[in-house]
Amino acid sequence: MSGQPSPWAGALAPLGARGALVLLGCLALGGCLGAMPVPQQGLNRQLEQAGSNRQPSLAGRWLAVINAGGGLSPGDGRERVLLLDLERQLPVPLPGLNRPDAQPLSVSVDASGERLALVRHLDGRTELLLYRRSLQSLQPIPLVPPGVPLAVQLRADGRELAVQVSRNGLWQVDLIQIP
Amino acid sequence: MLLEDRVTGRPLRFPLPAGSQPEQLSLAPDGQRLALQLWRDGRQQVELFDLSGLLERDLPPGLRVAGGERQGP
Repeated sequence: MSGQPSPWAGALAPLGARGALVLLGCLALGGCLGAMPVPQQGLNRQLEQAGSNRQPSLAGRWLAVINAGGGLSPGDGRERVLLLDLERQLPVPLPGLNRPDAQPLSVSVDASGERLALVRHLDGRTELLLYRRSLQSLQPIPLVPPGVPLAVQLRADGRELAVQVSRNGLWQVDLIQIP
Repeated sequence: MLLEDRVTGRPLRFPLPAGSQPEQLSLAPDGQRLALQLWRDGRQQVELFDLSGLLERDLPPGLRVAGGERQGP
């Protein structure tokens, strides 16, 4: 099981659905109130068939995950970013984003599916990047002052991101405007 | 697993799929869908849940809500 903390539930909730606060906890199964969330069986089956998935990011009709064992080389264990169009129930290509020698750590998509923010480990460095799908461009985003990014969340309109950064032994959250 | 709608103050609890341990989540910006990262059967899985009608919709500014008053003549 991953030992990575889940930083978003509290600190970054304002960047998600503004009207809702989501809490994860170990609660008894009793006491359910009225209507229930409905599992999206077809999509869930597809996700399961694609292999192991983690770090989900939902926005609009888009779901970004870090996937291992899917795609063209099932079971190779290499992780890559996968972007699914939930309306068409199909993955969309992300040319120039995934590299076989890079380890993706965190991904977030905006509501238009145009921008993806990514934290990845490559050549001994952990870096924060912004991918623009229409341009197929991958742009590094510098951290000032320098730090080691761990997790990222993009605002729904793609104009701001929140990144969890390690600096001098402390966890911090930076907000970065994106033109 | 607990969701709280800050608009209505209504809490929403639901059981997780059997044998699953929750690890991460992502709530869609409009509050209509939830993705849960679960540990189950020795691997990580992401499951999607439809929240339509359970939470107050949180639309970007400027979008007209269905059923709202018509604009103009």
